[in-house]
Amino acid sequence: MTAERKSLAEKILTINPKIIMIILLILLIIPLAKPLALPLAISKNTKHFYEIIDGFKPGAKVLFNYIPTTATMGDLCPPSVPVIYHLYTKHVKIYFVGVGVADGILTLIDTQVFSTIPPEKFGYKYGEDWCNLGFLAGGDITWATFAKDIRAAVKFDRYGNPIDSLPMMKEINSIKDFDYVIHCGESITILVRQWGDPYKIPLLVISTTAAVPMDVIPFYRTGQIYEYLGGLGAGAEYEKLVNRPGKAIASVDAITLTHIFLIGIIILGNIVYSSTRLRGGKIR
Amino acid sequence: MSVLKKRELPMGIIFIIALLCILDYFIIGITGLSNIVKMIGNWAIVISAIAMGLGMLNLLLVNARNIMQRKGNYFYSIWTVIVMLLTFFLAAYGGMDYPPYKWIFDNIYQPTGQAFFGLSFLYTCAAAYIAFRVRTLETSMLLIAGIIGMIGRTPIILTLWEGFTPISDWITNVPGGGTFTAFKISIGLGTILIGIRTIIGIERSYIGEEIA
Repeated sequence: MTAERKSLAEKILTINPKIIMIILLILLIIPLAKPLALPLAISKNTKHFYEIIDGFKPGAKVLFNYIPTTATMGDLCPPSVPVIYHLYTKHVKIYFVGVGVADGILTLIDTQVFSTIPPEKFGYKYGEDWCNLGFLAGGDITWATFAKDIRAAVKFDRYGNPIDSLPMMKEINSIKDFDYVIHCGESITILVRQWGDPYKIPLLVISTTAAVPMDVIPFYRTGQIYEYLGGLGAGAEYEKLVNRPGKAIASVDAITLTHIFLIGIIILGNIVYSSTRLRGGKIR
Repeated sequence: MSVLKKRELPMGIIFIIALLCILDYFIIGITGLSNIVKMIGNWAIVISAIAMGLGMLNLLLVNARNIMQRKGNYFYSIWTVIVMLLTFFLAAYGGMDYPPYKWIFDNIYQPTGQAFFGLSFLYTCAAAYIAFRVRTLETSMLLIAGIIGMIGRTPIILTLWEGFTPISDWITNVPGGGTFTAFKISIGLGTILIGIRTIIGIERSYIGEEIA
């Protein structure tokens, strides 16, 4: 009997990682195929982010720096959609741009945002209410040049129009002319160093879940970042706040199931591990 | 020795450009200086774009060498070169919105990139099961912080008991945030130090010399 128990403990502790992966895969697929609509609590950061955008006055000028990569798009693109939707409903002027080093900037905004919520559907007219200034590759100097004099860095928009031909660009010369900056992507340190601190412009950040403690929190605690949304979970909360369920809510069900499974097996593994050690059993 | 091969020339250029940028950052209102720094910024943007082309050329040369020397799995190099040239010429011919180019980008590049990171998630989870064990004091602390961190990102658990939220927030903001603030300050100080060393010519690794 004891030998059988030990054998079971041994099996649990040395479980084949492929079994864990297969179970995780199943738990990921089920809610994506059939959303479970699990309950969702709204965090104070998401609520504050929502309240800030809700307070935007019609006609406010918002620079939206959109730089997810193929690595981060799963965590960044779903939260950006309800935020942009919220901006449309506030009738603010949106200046999209992609300043940074990231693959897929040019097409990700088309496939992940404009295909889901085309600006025209919300009465937005290109050049007057929204524009896409395209992609600017580079590090600190590119960010600094764009902030100092936009026309020195950008001559044509994403669709090849001279930026001076866009009516909404008439009042814009430098980053100081925007009321808010919303940044969706990595490069948080450069954002604060080149845009936030020198020009004292309020920064709102949509960040990956993993980057929140290391990249965002140090600047959030000092007030250099006004507010942030931390990845897919916060995106789902935002979708709930704007009452527009989308990809983030569907994905957060998958996150919930996989997290619960992972927490469960880690606790089970530790109970078996500790009890085996207390009994003086050998553990490989 | 040609003047272009002397180390003084690149070091002099770096010194002047760095000095102009620093002066422009700290002394606002000198129009002439600001215009020069703007022009330098434009050059940097152009150089960044050229660097991407240079990266492609380098990748092409490395893979071409593998193919010619029949090194290891050289057929992967053949495939890399074919895909790279095909994508490049499609974009060069039809622009970034050319449908075949967009199709490759949206339907091959992005999903494969996502699949790669999805796989890393599965491996991380399997590794976490083995790593999160109460073997020592350190691993026990890692286990507790990890479990609370995961609970903090599991919405259904937070709706069951709100008490998890402040605990999870505390771990993220205080030990996590504090540690990363220290990292950020250290990186900042290190960057300033390297900047000063580069400007005064002690740091010369960027011109292929050993660090003094």
